[in-house]
Formats: sequence, structure tokens, C-alpha cells
Amino acid sequence: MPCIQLQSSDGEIFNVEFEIAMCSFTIKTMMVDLDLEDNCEEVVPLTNVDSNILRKILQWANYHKDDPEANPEDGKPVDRRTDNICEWDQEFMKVDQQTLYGLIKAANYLDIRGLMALTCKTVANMMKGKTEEQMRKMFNIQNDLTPEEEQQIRQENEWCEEVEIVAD
Amino acid sequence: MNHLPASFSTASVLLHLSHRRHTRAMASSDCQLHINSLPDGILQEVFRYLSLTDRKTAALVCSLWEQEAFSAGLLANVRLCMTSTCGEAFLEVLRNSWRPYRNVVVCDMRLCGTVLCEFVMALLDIFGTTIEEFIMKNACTAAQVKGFAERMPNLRKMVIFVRESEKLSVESLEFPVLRRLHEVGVWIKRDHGVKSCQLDMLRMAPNVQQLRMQYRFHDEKMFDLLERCANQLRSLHLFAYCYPFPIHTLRFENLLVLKLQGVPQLRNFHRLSHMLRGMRKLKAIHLDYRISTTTLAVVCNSCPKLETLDIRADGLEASSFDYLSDTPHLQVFMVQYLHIGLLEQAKPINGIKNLHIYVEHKAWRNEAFVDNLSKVFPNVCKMKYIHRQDTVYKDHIGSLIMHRICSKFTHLTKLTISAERCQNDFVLSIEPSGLGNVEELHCVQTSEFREPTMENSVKRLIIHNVDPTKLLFSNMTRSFPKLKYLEIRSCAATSSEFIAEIRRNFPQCIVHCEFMTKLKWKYK
Repeated sequence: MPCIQLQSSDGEIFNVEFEIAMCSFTIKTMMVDLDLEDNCEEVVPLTNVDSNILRKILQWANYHKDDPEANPEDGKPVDRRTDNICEWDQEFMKVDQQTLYGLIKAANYLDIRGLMALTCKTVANMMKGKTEEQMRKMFNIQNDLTPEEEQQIRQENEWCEEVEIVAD
Repeated sequence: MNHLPASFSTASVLLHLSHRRHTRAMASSDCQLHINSLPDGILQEVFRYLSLTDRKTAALVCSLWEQEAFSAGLLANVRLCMTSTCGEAFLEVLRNSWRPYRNVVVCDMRLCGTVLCEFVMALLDIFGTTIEEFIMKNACTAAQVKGFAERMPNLRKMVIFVRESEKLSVESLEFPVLRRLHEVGVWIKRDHGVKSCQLDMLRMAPNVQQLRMQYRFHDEKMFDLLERCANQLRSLHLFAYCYPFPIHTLRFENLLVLKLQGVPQLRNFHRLSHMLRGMRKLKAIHLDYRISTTTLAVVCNSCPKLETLDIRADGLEASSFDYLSDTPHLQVFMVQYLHIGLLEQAKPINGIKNLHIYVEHKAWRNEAFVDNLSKVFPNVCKMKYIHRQDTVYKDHIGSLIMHRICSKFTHLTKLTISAERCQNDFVLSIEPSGLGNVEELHCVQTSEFREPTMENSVKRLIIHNVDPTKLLFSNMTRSFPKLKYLEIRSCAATSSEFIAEIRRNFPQCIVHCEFMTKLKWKYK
């Protein structure tokens, strides 16, 4: 099985099967562009991803390596559901906020779409049905809005309604 | 591993380059991570999964969240509504808004014509350039339409009601050219004496693809528009009660959807078949007048790609249903005046997945009618069961017929019960029960909505015209455990506390409330 070596920001080297590393579009594009697909002797430094996060990502990628590739251009409506997370992923997402943000940053940097969707859905679920005060507490956010700005937002909100985008 | 491949350094450079795009947010990577220091676009990506209700709350958390929750990308499914309840503060508040609104609907029964139009112009001065969809349910003049159009250079869809009278000036108006305007709905109401309409649609919407027109008098300008754009049209809906122009002589080669209401000249069988022969790509046809079996044969034979057929069955014989079986792609069948006698003799039509049926009052609660219907259309997944009569009937649809429908149509996942043609506000009283596998339930023109007693799989519940005081939401949360979307439209205006209460009771689902005046405005 051909492998690629990935080096985390803290210097740890991971031997990763091509197939698994390919879940990252950033790595995939690089491999294709530089024609490295048959060359296993590469050490690719990932200066943004520490070993803890990288280990988690590889664990996720290994579990999902046989998933069908998502094709956003096939005319289907964008998936906005957050109740369709499989059990393994739910278990995998039981991490603290630091790890969660670390995963989001890394998924964004490495362009791993499935993991990006999973982590964003997880954060969205943490927000759903909460009041603004509960949201601030949950994410440790300071309210920087003036009372006037707040009033402005409340008024505008009242005049906005959701247009349902139905796939029929 | 004797030497590094020559490309090694290139690989590192490439990854470093892609890293640089995120430097702003990555700068603090060594310290504690915070949700607001994540790379650009991440918060938006998260908010994409929230309903508008939750996004409204998120906007109140901090200034960054308000920007992200109402950024341009997320405003595609948000409509700014100007209604009678908006009041004087509306413009003042919107002047301070920075949200790039994309959809606007105006439906204000409080202000009269000129005042309202000035108000709308002022609104469009604020963010006309980002508007893509503009719906104005109040009547206005062509000159006012021109004023609106000039303020919305990026418009894609426009629905307007134009009123013209002899009293107004007849000088021609120079309309702006809106190249992105693809969808137009125009209702024209004019005094008899007006020679030609001032509305220059041909100039304003040269790239129109979807056109909906309603008129009573012949108009050269509108025919010019049709003639010029016939071949680029994807969808055409004509609503006419006069002999305006020789439409059958035009070629609509790219038309996918055709809807005719009135249009007396096309009731002539030869003209219709002449026109249809040129529409090889047609996927949907709606004919709102009595047709014969021969006409149906022409429709089915001329349009090999037909998926949707909407007709009246009162001029048909039982054998005419065979033409439906022979139309290979036909899935959606909408029918009026379908009598039980015709159903009894008809053979099953297996292809139909979606059935819209207008039911006579005497068949409305007739179980034998439902039984026969299920024999002829055994594979229906989505059904609209619509009371046809205009007359007022106080009826209780109750458990009886709904139970029958759900048990006979075993594939059913979406059911609509409606009395949409009735003028009276309070017509149906609905008590859903035995809902089978139905995941989506629409109740239109409902007066009362009683809670179902049995557990069900309904995920989407849509209730129109209900009296809000006759809904008990605390109980509904228990009776609809799987609910994801709730839409309530009502004629009775209700307080914002009422809406807030609904939202509190359904935190996990999209709650959409709309309160309208008694006048029914159809604008979709």
C-alpha cells in the first residue's frame, strides 16, 4: 500500500496511506499537480496542524475512507440538516471546544469537506434553540453591541421571513 | 532514500502558500482558540445550518455574528417584508442597515398608491443594487415600475400589478435594461379606453425566461414581447379573457412549462395542436378549460417529455386515461371534475407519483371515491385533496376521510387537504389521525386544527388560514414529535408574543408565520 509521510507542527511524522491522505483536497491537489502519486518518499510538513489534531483527523479519515465522494455540483439542494450525523461521528465529536476548533481549522486548511461539514454541524447544534445570552456563555463571547445597535437588529429581524428553498 | 525528490521544496512551498491565505486568523494559533478567531468564512459555514429564527438570535450575540449571520450568502433565503404592520420606523431603521438584502416583498394595505410607491422608492434607494427578487402586491403605474426598475440593476425576478387609466399620461417611458431579469409576473389592469400600455417589458426584460401575464385587453407591446422572446422562454403562463393576439403562430421551441387560463383562441383544437407541435421539450402543461379526448391525445402525442399534466376531466371518456399510461415520463397528474363513473371504468395508471385532485362536494366524504382513486393511481406518494366548490360549506373532514386516504394510498408521504377555492374563512375543521407514513401535512383554508391523538411521522406541518386561537401549541409539541418545519398563515393578525410562544415551543424547527389581510394575494 503506497504511503505518504506527513509531519505535524510539533515534528511528529505520520505514515499515511495515500487513500486516506487523499481525503484532503489540499494534499490531493498538491500530489496531482506535482505528479507525486507514484512517489512514496515524500515528507510533507503541515506547519498548522499539531500531532493531537492530526491523529484525530487520520482516525476520522480512516473511518470514512470508503464514503462516496460528495458532489456539490449535481444540482441537489444544499444539505442544511444537522440531525443526520452518524453514531460514530457523534461519538468522535465528543471533544472539548479547543479540540473542536482545532479540527475546524485543520479541516479548513487541509480542505476536508466531510469533516468540515461535521464540525460545523456540531457547532450549529450547540447554538440551536438558545437565547443570545446562552450563546454568549456557551462560546465565551463579550457583547460589543450598543443598545441602539441591538434595537436596530431586533427591528430588522422582525421584518425578515424565511423563504423556503424546496427541492421538488 | 538517497536524495530528496526535486519536487520536495515545491511541495512545501505549495502548502505554505495555501497557509498564507489564512494568516489573519492563524496568527494566534499557539494561544487559546476562540470561535471568533477561526478563519474567514467558518462562522458563515456554521450559520448555514441554522434556521432563520436561530440566526436572528445569533445576530444579537455580538457585532461579528450579526455580520456573519446576515451576510450576502445567507440572505438568499431571507425575504424583507414590508407590510401594513411595519409602521413609520421601517425606513428609518433600514437606512442604518448594512445587510445586503436580496429579496423584498411589499404588501401594504395601509398606505395608498402614490405614498406607498414613494416609500418603496426610498427603500430601494437604500439597497436596490443587491435586490434580486422584487414582489409588489399593491397596484402601481408603469411610471412607478420604471422608477423601481432603475433602482434594481441586478434584479432577477419581478412580480408587479400594473394599473393604467386614461387619466394618466400616455407619453412613452424609457425603461432601464435589466439583463439579469429572468422571471417576470405582470398583472395588467387598465381602463377600456387606454390604447397601449406604457410598460415597456420588451426593453426592460430582454432575457426573460419565465413569463406570467394577466390581461383583459389586446396590447401591441405585450405581443411584441411574446413574439421577440418566444424562443427563449422556459415557462409561460397566460391568464386572459379576450382574443388578444395570434399566439398560436409563435414558436416556443424551448418552452418547458405552459399554463393557459382563459385564452379563448387556443380552445380551438387545431390552433392548440399547431402550437404544441412546436414544443418538443415541454415538460408541464396546464389547461384550465374543458377538453375532449382528442385534445388530450394531441397533448400526449405532441409532447414526448411531458411529466406534468393538469386538465379538466369533464369532457373525457374513460378510455382517454389510456393516453396517460402511454406518456412515458408522466408523473404528476392534476385533475378537476373527475367523476366516480370515469374512475370505475379506468385502468390503473402506474406512473403517476403525484396527484392533485379537485373533489366535488358530494364526493368529498365518499369513501368509495377514495377507494376507486387508489385503484387507478396506486403509486401516488404525494397527494393534494382539494375541495372544488366555491360555495361555502361548513365541513368536518375529521378522521374519517384522512384515515381512508392514508390507508388506501400505501406509498403516501405528503398529503395536502385544502378548500382553497372557498371564499369563506372558516371552512375546514381538521383532525388528523391514522396518518400512516405521511411526513408532510398541509392544511389549507382550515378553521380549526385539532390535535392528532395518535403518534405520527409528520416532519413538516403547514396550516393556512387557521384561527390562531384555535391552535394549542403546547399539546402540538407532543402530538408531532418529529416536527422540523411549521408554517402558519392566518388572516387574523396576532401579536409578536404569540409568534414568540410558538418559537419557544418548537426550538428545533423552522417556524414560519405570516399574517395576511383577508384579501387573498397569490404571487408565487
